[in-house]
Formats: sequence, structure tokens, C-alpha cells
Amino acid sequence: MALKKIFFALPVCSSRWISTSYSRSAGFQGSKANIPLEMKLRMIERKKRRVEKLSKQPLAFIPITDFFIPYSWKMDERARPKLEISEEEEDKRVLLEKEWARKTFRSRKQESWKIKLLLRHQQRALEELRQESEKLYNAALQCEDLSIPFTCRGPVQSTPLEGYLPPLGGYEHTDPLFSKDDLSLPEV
Amino acid sequence: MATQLSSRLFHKIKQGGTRWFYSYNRCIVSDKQSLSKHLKREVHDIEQVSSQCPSPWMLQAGVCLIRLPLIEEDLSEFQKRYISLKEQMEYENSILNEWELEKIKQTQLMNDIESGKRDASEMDFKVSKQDYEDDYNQAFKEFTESTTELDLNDADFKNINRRPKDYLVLISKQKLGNDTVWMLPTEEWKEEENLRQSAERALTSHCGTLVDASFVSNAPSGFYKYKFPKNARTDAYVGAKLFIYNAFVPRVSETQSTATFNLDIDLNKMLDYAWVAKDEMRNFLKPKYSKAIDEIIF
Repeated sequence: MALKKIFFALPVCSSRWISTSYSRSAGFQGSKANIPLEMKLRMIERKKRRVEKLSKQPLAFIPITDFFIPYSWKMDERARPKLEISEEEEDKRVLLEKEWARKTFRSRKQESWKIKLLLRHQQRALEELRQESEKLYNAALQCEDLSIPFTCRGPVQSTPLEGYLPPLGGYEHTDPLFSKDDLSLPEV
Repeated sequence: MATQLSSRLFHKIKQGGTRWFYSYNRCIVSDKQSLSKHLKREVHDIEQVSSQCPSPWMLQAGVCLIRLPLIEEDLSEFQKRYISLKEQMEYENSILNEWELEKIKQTQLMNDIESGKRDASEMDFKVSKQDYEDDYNQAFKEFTESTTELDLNDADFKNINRRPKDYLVLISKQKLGNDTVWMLPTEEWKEEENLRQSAERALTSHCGTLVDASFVSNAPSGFYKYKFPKNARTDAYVGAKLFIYNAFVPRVSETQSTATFNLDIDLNKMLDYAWVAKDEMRNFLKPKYSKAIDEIIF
């Protein structure tokens, strides 16, 4: 990867400007300006060979681009005109959030209570079974392999329409290997 | 996972002659292992006792075949308000997307052309994005008005697709002595068979072999003890202990919200059957019985 050189201009005193490069080793900048043609051609060939080598390897995954916000999104023209929210509205929103927190806590508690009840009933059934016969109790304690890993399909949002035939087949999620968004790294 | 259980254990101890002594211990046990340790002490006594006097309870296995909800529950008013608030906040904190940018530019262009600031030759589109949006909204409106959802018959108790938002249980009408009683499909336990197999046998003998049901575990999910009416009691059995096994009607596919149930009834055993929700159970079953099943269904 080529070194990205970023120049910063710093004023030392009123009449002179010193430019320093961002990278640690400034290198012999401008050293490749006057080279004989043959050498240039040789350098180009070497680079081509390197590119060929790399192209033979399988494509590597690029990092997740969700964390990089493309530059074009940060422009002013993309900003949505802000709505002014009155104080009453803000208070209402905050109170709704608090009520939601209370309700979810409550529903979670109810769910865990239901699960505890299920377990409790099972325990009681096993106790009573044990009092009847040890053999059946041991058979009941056996672990069933088929149900692990357990998979379950959830409910749907609405009933099917009259006379509607859903298309056959599943839905494939294909993420593109290389995204087309421009990353927020500065181009030199 | 440590589960706190308080168990009341009844055990009979024969003390001196023919006096039977009932005592119960209430203990809080921290987890399953220590519970079984505690029980082991008692079981020794029972095994000694049972060899002298077998248990008066007939063992039965029953199947609680559950049809899970096909459709999501309706959102409550509060949930709808919260969802709309969240959507509003997300909309406010978002940025314009490309479609909206184009739309704004196009409307600006059209306004400028009308007012004369710009030339009509600069129009680079035939159909504006706003027109597309209007078309889409129109098509959606027509679609929702023209099509109707399937009317699942809620009143027919034999229809497995009734009441799609609830948990349904299969109950059957069986002969118990001289009476016909509504209860879960049950079978008496036979020798050389464990309880889960007798539960599966109960399902196939009542509903036929084509029924598709997935049992979840070898252990029973629920328990119900009842005494026979006095004229039906024999020397061997005072009553029965019913161990209930949960089974689920599997979902066929993700897209379809209907379930299928292939019945092959044995009319000697199952005179009638019904798919029943929790609130309707009390109309068919005895209160204690329905309470025993109620809490197993979730």
C-alpha cells in the first residue's frame, strides 16, 4: 500500500513557512522524478508481477462498512430539516419511555413466572412418579437427543388471503462482498 | 440453575400393628440433586412398604396436544403509541436518502421552470419521483381494498385453525365406566413400556397414526390425581395418577399460517373431539382438571 503523505503547513515566524510531512520518514521525495526509461519500465513490470501474484489469491473480506459513515452522508444537503419539539411534547416522550420500561419489566417478570410454574409442575410430576416406581422415574430422566438443538418457528402476522398461493422457495440473504459506498478515508 | 422448591412429601410409615401414620415434611431444597438425595431416603421406606402393599393408584399417561398460535397477538394501545413514537424519533434523527434528494431537486426544478428561472430543456426526467410514489400508494390502496383475508371459522370446535391467536388443546370425549367424560386422550400404562411410550400410544390410538406431533421430553409435564367413583373402585385401585405429556403440532412452513391435522378416529375410544382454548376449557372439563392443564400450556 502506498504511503499516504499529508503535508501540514506550520508558520514558524511571520515570513517563512515550513512544510512538514505527516509520515515519520520523509524519504527521498522526488527521487523518482528523473530516472532513465529502462528503469521505469523495469519498475512497472515488477509492479505488474506483484499484482498478478495477489490476484491469484482468493478475495479477502473487507471490514464491515456499517461502522464507516460515507463522506457523502455528512454533507449539509443531506441533513433533514429539524422539527422543533415543544417542551410538552418532550415531557410526553420521556414519560412514555419510562412507562415502557415499567411495562417491559412487568411482562418479563410474568414470563419468568410462567416458566417457573412449568418447571414446578414437571418437578411435582417427577416426584409423584418416583413414589410409584423407581424404574419409570429413571426412564423419565433420560435426556432426549432429538430435541437439541431446538428449533421453533414463530407465528405470522396475518391470515393468508383468499385464493393466494405463496411463491415456492426460500429467501436468500446475499450480502455483497465489496460494497460500493465510499469510505470516510481521505483520498490523496 | 438453582431452583427453589418447597416440597411437601407424604409418606406412610407402618408403626406397630396396623396403625398407619401419615406425616409430611416441608423442606426447601436448593437444587435438583439435593432433592433426589432427600427423596432417596423416603423411597427406601416406600419400596419396603410397596412389597407388602402395592400402590392403590393406577398409572395413566395422557397427551396434551397443543396447537401453538398461528398469528401474532394484537398490539395493545400502549404498544402502538410506543412504536409510533420510536418510528417518529428514528425519522427525525435520520438523514435524507437519495430518493428524497432527487425528489427535492425535481420539485425545485419544476418550480423554477414554472416561474421562469430555468429553461424547460433542463428536465432530465419524464416521470418524477413524486408521481412514482403516488402510483405506489394507489396500488397499495387498491390491493388492500380488493383482497380479503381468509375467514377462519372460530365456532367450529373441530377446526384446527380456529382462534389463530390462542393456544389450543385437543380434548376428547371418552367413556369412563358408564359415563362419557371430556378429558385429554389417556391410556393406562402397560408393563414393558415407559410412560412416554404410553403417551404416544394414547395419541395414536385416539387420533390414528397419521397425526404429526412432536413430543418434547421423556419426563411428564404435568400431573393429576383423581379417585374413581365409589362403585368403580376395585380392590386394587382407589383412583388413578395421570401423568400429562406435552406434545406440539409442528408448524408446516414459515409462510403459511394454517396447520394441518390428519385424523383417523377410533370411534370406540374417542366419541368426540374438540380444539379448545384456555377460557373455553371450563365449559368442557372439571375445574380441577382444567386447572391442571391450564398452567402447563403457557
